[in-house]
Amino acid sequence: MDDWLILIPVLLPLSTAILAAVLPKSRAVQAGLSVAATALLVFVSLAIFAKAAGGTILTVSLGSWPAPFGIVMVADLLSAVMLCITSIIALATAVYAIADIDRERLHFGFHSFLQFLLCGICGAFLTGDLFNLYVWFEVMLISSFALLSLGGGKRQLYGTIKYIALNLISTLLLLSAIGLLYGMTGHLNLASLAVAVPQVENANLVTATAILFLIAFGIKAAVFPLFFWLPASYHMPPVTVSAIFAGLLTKVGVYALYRVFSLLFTHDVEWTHTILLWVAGLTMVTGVLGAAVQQNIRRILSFHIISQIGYMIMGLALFTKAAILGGVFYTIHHIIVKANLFFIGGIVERRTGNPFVRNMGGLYRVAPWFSLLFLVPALSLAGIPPLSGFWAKFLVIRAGLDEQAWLIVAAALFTGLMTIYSMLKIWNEAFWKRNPERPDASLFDAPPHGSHGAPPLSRAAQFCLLAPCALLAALTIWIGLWPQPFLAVADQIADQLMNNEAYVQAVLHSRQSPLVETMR
Amino acid sequence: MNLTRLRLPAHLPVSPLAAWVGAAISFFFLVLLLGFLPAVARDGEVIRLAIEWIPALGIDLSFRIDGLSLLFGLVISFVGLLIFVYSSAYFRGDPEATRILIVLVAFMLAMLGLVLADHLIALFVFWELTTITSFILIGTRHEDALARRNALQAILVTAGGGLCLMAAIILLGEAAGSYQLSEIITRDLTDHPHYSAILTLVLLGCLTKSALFPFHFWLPNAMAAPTPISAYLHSATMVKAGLYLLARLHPSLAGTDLWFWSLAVTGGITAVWSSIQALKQRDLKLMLAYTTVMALGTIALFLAADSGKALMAALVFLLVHALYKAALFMVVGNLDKAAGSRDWSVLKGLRRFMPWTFAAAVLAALSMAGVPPFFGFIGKEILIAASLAVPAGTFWFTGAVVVSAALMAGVAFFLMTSPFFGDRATPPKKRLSAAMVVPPLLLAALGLIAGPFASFLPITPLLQSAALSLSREAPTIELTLWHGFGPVLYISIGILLAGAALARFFVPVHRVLYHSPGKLSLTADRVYDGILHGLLSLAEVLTLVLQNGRQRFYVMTIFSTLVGLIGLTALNRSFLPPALLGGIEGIPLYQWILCAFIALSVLLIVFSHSRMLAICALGTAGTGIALFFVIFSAPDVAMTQFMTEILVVIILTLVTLRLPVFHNYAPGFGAGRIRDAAIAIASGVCVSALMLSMVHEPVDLSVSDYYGANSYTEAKGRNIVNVILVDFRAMDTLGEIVVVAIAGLACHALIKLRRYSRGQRFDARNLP
Repeated sequence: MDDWLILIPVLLPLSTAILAAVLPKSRAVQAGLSVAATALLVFVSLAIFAKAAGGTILTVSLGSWPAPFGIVMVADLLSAVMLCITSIIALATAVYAIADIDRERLHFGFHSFLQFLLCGICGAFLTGDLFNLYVWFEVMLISSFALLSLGGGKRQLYGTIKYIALNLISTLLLLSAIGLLYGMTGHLNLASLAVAVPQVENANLVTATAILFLIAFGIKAAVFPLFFWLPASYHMPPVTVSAIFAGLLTKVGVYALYRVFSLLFTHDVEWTHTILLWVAGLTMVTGVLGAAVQQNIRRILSFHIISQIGYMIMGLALFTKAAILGGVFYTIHHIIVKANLFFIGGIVERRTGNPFVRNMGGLYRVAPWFSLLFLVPALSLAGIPPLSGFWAKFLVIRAGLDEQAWLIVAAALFTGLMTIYSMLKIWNEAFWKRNPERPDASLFDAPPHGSHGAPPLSRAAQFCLLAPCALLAALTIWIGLWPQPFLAVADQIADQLMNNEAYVQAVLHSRQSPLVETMR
Repeated sequence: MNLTRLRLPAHLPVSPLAAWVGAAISFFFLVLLLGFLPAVARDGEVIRLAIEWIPALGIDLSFRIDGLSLLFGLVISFVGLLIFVYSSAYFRGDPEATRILIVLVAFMLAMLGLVLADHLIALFVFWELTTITSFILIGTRHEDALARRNALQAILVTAGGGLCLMAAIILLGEAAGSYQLSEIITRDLTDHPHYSAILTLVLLGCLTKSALFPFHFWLPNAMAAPTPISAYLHSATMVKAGLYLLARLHPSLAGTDLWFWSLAVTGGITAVWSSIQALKQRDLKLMLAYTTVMALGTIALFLAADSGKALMAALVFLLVHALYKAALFMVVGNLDKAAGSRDWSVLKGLRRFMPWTFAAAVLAALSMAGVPPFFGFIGKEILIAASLAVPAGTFWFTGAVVVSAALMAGVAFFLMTSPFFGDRATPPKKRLSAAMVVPPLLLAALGLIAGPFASFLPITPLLQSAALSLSREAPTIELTLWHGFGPVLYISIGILLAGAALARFFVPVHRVLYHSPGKLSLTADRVYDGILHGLLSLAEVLTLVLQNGRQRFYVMTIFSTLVGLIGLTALNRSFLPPALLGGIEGIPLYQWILCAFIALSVLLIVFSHSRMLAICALGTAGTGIALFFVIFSAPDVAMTQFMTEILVVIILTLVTLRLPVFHNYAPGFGAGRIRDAAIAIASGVCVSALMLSMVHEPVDLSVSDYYGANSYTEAKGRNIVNVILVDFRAMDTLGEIVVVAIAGLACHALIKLRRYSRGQRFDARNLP
């Protein structure tokens, strides 16, 4: 049964991107189009979620070619949830961009690139085909490259080169891994691979290929010791770009890891997932230690992305239902909180004119409400109850203790403490400390010769900057105070990931194919 | 509605209104909890209330009111009420008063939640809320760097303990099969395999929260907060949370040597050490802070024991302490507000000018010293009696109690005399309003009333029902002043005499201690600094090594990881088939020659000193690969490859012509070069090994066969590759077209839009 609805999250951003490229480059047209399209994307994603939450897995066979032969798009609950969260972040980003993105970047197609990026992300979440996943990664990579380099100076390009070069290695490895798997099985469709991979005679070769996937997606997800591109580049572009990257890009890598290590490579969990567990622990600790010594607010936040990825991988690596549940919940929470911290950090940075916390200060005195707005995601990231991050941390740590994985639990607890340290370092420096230069400057009082050099913001522009932060903070509080619905969904996702028969059935069952026979 | 008009005021209005709201809330809870007093204290009932919260995790918002939680709840709401009244005057004129008081109200609610919660997760949520509100309150004077540092220290210590507690709670819940305290305390977990882990983690959580040795150092530093906050959080309530939880878990965790000795040793050391520290202080508030630590240590000491008597002693002392200590803090706050100092060497003769504050000081200090007929006397007698009755470690218990009590008595006598007697000509600068005088006086007076009338007030049944929550044997202790002659009375008198003598010679003793080599260089505070600094240095080194800004290192690390992980997998899960190179003999000669051609091109790329040559070699290598496509009958793929190679060579040549000359373009055979070569070759070997192993696997050709069979019949195309590209897998092609389009747009932007960032400072830690 084809469900064409799930193609919209790919086609809508794609057509918006093309429209934005040909329409006049005025702020009203570009931003209006972008906001309208992302708002529509939110609705579509919610509609898909509503369908998927009923337990059905939605599929579309493109070109109506039966399942293992053509490309299939699939939306199970994990994909649907990732779509929802992507669309919400996208909407927030589009609104924030109205005030944050300058005229030049707008003129050279900022919103086009943004929509192309969304197209790639949604495609990656929806595809049911391994090679097609690679294609969407390409789309993401090239559009993120465009966003990173757009309008940048030398330093921005310097970071961009590192980003693109290291990510191309990932692309190369991913392609090799897909080739190997195809060579062993003759399949690219994820569902048929799920059937064919366990039948490969040389199971150890599959394990080795899985490691290749781990490295390829690990680079995308910025795990230890493959994360270098992230801190090298995330503090360079405009905040809007940093925020959507921080929220979504690495999480596509995490999603891909979840997908292949629950659907395809579960035959040798003892080896593959033990490696994942070590990766998780080391990622957490190196990430958080990296953050502890940073002075640049966006670099602090960037290193925390890495450490938080560790928790998500930990959920996958423990590979129990409770752990997967925790990992999925962690991912949802993290995307919201991390994007929000970048948005808020951007406002702080704008006021000071540079990103170094030592030059900041005095915000608690002049802007108490804004301070509270910062504390919500910051404390949530640090895992303080009753905010979303607490439940996330609680779930993965409980899963770890259930498995008696003491070492990873210790690493998780230590990372939690250091995260508190980092967040409160920002708080102490940017909010509590007296501002060294302009103690009485109000929140939107930008310095005359800052790196932004932008004119003072209008009320409407201020609203555009603050509204996304408030929306995401409200979500964080909601998840924190009433996590029940989110947990119920995460529970269902964990169920689907741990039992992949439903996925295989949904994709291959629609048309009779020889593979279904072999599966029985 | 115009949303942009929706602006919140930058400053909240300055008024003591928030204080009165806080007072009203605490009064409400006081009355509410007093309403439970008859049922709980007299009839021994346990009241439970549960609200569904997160059924997915089995977590509900459940509360339990028994003797112990009621005792704590009453202290929190009663002292809270007085503190809010006091704050209404104390914070008058402070521009941030409203914020401070809102946080204080939040703290009080969290604290009440903590002691009333039945579900451990709910308890933990409230626990962390008190930690975070405490952080904000310690940093009230946030423009002072020391206040910020101390606030951070307090939260790192307590939140670190909190994380341990979270692990403890999870293990405890698993061990007991329930997260409900009501369930847990009915189980004896001392035999559980995870018992020592649980206890260690619980202790880490509780010792940090309650500032017990070796985590005592944050509490005196927390005195950076304004006095009402110190009085409430860091003396009367929050620091007792750890003790509360220890008392709460006493039925299921106590009774082992580990429990007994860890608490006895920490408690004893804390009590004695901090009472000596109190003598070294000049700041009256710091002096009080150390005596608070001493009281916390004493309570912990008695929680170590298992007997009903010792537990009762701990609870009585807890109540005694809550009454006099908060009063004394407010007295010091009054001295500070009125006379502008908290240094006892400066404050003199204030008795005449501040008679009511003086009265409060005397009443509270006499209770602290344990003079009959004050409540403090009863508290001390019970402590001594219980310490004498402890089965093991009697000497340790009694010694710790006697030494610390004598020192406390000395401090108490000194506190009520030194600032108030002596000569002072000028009256203090400020007059105090009634709101600042009545609360301490009321609290201190309670200490006097509670003594002689202990048996008439509901105090005894309340304490007894609280003790019943801790231990199954019901303690029968009479709270009376007169127990007859005996060792207890003699020790008590001895303590008072020693205290009086100490007060008489306080200044010389202080001086000796202050200047003595007892000023240890290794204080816990410095250890904290050392650990934090060490950790940050480690982090700095690690980050400079890892994120060092050198692209070559990054690439190297990624490929080394590849080699390492594939190598490890090969060793542990040997994937190489026995006949890895099987079939190699069937390769015809011309293919070998082509291989050699490609290999030579690659070597040329690597070793060439000329860019031009390297680019050309790249082209020939690609052409060689394309020839293989021709050999294996894929002419269209080969055509594509040829086109790509030609374009790559042309474009690269154009670009390189514009690039400046690199000096170390091809350095000889240094160590770095050899290392790079090793990594590169190893990576190549890994991928080749995978490829060669893969070739031996039988392939399911059903998909290719399907394409062959249906290309013309279904898709109406003769060229299968074309049909795959535009029909079977059209989505891939769409994606790739999009990639090319984006690349074009991005290049356009890159070339046309050039802006060089200005004014960005270079930072070593900011390497990309």
